[in-house]
Amino acid sequence: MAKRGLTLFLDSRLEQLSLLAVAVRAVCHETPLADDTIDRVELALVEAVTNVIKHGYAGAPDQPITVRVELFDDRLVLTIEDQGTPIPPELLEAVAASGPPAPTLDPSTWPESGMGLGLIAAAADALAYAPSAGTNRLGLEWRYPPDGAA
Amino acid sequence: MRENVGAAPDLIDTRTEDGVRIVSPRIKRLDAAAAPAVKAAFTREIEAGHTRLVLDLGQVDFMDSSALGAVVSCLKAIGGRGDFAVSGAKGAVMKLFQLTRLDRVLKLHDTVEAAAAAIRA
Repeated sequence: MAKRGLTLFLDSRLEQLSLLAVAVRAVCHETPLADDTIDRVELALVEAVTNVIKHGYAGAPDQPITVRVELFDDRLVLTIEDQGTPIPPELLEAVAASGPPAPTLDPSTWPESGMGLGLIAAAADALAYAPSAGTNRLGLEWRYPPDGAA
Repeated sequence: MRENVGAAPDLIDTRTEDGVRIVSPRIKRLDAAAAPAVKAAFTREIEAGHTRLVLDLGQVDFMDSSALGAVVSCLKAIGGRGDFAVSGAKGAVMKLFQLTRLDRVLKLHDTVEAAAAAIRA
């Protein structure tokens, strides 16, 4: 069980992203996570919730998104829940295994979209995704540095 | 001389220094909500004939893949006609470039002056 935590509820609008990120970042500063890691938490969170809004809910406003932040003795866990279209499992498996593809020197080959999942996988220490009974649950985890005390 | 761009006049500053166009977003967070404004501003610059561009991220605290996609789109629009460099990426913005591995292929500089000099060279 988490020592401490909170749950944030938001509706599916991109304008909500900045408030959400600021709130979660503030919680991160209560943990032993290094600034560099907190940057990764913020990036994964924003990418994940953007993904839900743009793809899960296909841009429809007023759909529910829940973000739970839990502080354990040794790690911070974010859980993002939505009731939209799930992420295709094969897509998630592909990016979780390899992260974002390495860009070539030719900008014409660089992606303009579809980078979100790869970034989430690369930014988190651990990732779990479980669509079940109409609710999609993405769990992201960051472990505290070995000498950090919660 | 500084000018403001487009429908969101307080969001992005532009200026020209010795033939290099400097584009400076004043938005602290370049996320999916801000990405369309970024793309519109860049498109306008390129259509106006500015193809030697510095993206000055010195005032930006956070950038996500949506905003990065807008930048990449503009880079493609410049193609072989000009040059492009980035300055002032730090913290979460640099983290984005590192995780996408674009830090290895983009011209990243600490200052606007260094980025502009690299384009003129």
